[in-house]
Amino acid sequence: MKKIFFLFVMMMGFCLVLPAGAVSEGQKTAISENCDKIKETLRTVQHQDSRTRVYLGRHYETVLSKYITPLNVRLVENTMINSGLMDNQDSFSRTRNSFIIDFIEYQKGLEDLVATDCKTEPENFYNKLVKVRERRNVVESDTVVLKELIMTQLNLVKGLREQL
Amino acid sequence: MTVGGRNLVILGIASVVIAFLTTGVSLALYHNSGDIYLDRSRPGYLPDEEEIEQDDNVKDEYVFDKTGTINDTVLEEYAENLQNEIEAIEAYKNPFSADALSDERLGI
Repeated sequence: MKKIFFLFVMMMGFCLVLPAGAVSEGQKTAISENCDKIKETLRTVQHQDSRTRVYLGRHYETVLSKYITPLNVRLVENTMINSGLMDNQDSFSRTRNSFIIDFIEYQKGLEDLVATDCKTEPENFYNKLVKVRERRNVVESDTVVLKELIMTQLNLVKGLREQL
Repeated sequence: MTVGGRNLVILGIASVVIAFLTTGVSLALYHNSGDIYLDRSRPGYLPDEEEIEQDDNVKDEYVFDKTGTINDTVLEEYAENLQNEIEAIEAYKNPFSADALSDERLGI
């Protein structure tokens, strides 16, 4: 019984000392020792992300300017206003702008992370890494939403065809 | 030194100072606005040869006309081309996934 109580107290103490998201001693050592390799990986990620943003950004721009907007203009001209397609254009335009802003915020964080000395400040480095991950998640969510909105556009057009 | 010579030196120094100031302000604006993160023409971020070749091979893209009637044929063509765009976007698997910055990937 005493052993169980002792273990419980130890676990509680451990939880208080090391809150969720905190950096363990093992992680600090790994960050300091692999600092150069980690930074190299981060720079590669920076370059790959830049390439991904250009690729996706170009397609998002194409979808908005060559598909979504012209269709709504043409529908208005034909007095066939479709509120679903109008709302979709609004949502797509807003999310595309968010994607750009969120990407800039993420890249700023990533740049700051690369500039941080991970050999001497492993804890600070890890805390910044956690924040960069959060920003990256936001950018990822934007891409998911944009893809869903393009699918919605396609489904709305299919619905429109059935109505004709 | 003559008065003219001195004025010429002052003009030269003032020009250099103004050039440094305006360049500094421009760079600060370029960085703070976030444009630097969207610009792939900066050193180290230039597109590689493979990408340039891909860009050159891009065919004339479909553009939905803003004028004209709306009928089944027009919307069918629209849907087909939009589907191509969706496939091109889906070709980029899991963009910005969490794996790239995971502890395992970074060796932490």
